[in-house]
Amino acid sequence: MRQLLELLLYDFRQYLVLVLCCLISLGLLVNCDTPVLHAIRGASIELFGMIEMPFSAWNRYFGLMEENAALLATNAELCAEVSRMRSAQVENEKLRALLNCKLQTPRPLHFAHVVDRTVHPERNLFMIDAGAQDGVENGMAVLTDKGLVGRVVLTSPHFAIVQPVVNSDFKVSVVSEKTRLFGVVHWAGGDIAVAELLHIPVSRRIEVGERLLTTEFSTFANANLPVGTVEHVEASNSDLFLRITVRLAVDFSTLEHVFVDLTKPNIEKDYLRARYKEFQ
Amino acid sequence: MVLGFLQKLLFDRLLIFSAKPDVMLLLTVWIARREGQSFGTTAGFLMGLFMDLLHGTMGLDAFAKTISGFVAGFFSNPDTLNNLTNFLLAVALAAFWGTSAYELLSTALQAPLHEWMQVAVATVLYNLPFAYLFFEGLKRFI
Repeated sequence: MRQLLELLLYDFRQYLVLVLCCLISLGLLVNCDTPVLHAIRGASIELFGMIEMPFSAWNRYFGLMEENAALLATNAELCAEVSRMRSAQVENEKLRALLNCKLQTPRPLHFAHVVDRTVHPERNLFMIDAGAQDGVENGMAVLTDKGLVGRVVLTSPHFAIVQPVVNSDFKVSVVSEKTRLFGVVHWAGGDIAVAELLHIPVSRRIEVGERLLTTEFSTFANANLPVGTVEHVEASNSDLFLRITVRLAVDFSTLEHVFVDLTKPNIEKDYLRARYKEFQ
Repeated sequence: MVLGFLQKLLFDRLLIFSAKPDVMLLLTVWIARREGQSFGTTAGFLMGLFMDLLHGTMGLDAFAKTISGFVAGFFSNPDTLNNLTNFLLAVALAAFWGTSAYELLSTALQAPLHEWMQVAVATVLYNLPFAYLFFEGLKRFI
């Protein structure tokens, strides 16, 4: 027995160390969502965010000229849009009053900067400078004026990690604006400007250029947020579903500022889904 | 730790064909060649764990760097410590197997062969010039 131990500890210790380190790594990977590891990850994000902040501010300073020009252009577009929307709002209010509909309550939004991005061929992640102290919670939707960015997956007191649409683990249910077809937008890697629309049967027709909006039954996003537009539709005799390419509404290559929708995720829906899974 | 922050703030952004320069890998190889396989494996694991904390993931980098440290440990012959070719070969093999481990684990063994081969080979080629600079730089100080 002693000889065996000596053999293991001296002659094969490098293999023993390898196996031990690999097992610990795999253990950490499998249990990364346990409360303790979650807290450690949160603390490390907080610490790194603090260090990253001055660098992102430095980058932002040098990008100010470009950003200023873009803001001026956006401002001009928005001014025209605002005047159109004002008249539309008046008309809308009259119509809503006639139909006795309730006006939707404006959603609470929190402005945040993207302070870091983890670039990966399939699993991109963003870090924003808004965290639990700002009311940000896991599962909240993140958006811009263009549309849906993603959802919060991890928070620390002052920072949060966002899983964007351009992450292969992310899926969001959408509905086409005109034809009212329901599907799922999924990004499979590669070009961060395009994704796929899944689960539309070949028997249905969807138009190129049609906008895709989030649905009422999304677990995290409010309904009618733009996700993208249909760019290309391909029907194949051998497939049950159409192959649809979607141009995403948000330009992830230049994403710097976002809003976090502080509407609390619907716990009741999640609870019901969890209960249903238990019954299955 | 300084190299870790430098990696996260600077080198992680220099992506070419999904490959990036990895100074933590170079340090792991350097340590593994000098101190032996067990020490190199442990150092790789700890450095990977530190990078995991910076990236917000847990275990992925630690696993990959453990493999890299172990592979680099095969080149820990005291007679060839100052041999550049030996160091570059160690970096190439450590980068290839470390990246392969990372890709396969991050995709739950679902990564197509051509994709992870492409990333692994790109990482090897991308890191070799940095390995040369790293080796020459450290040689002057140590």
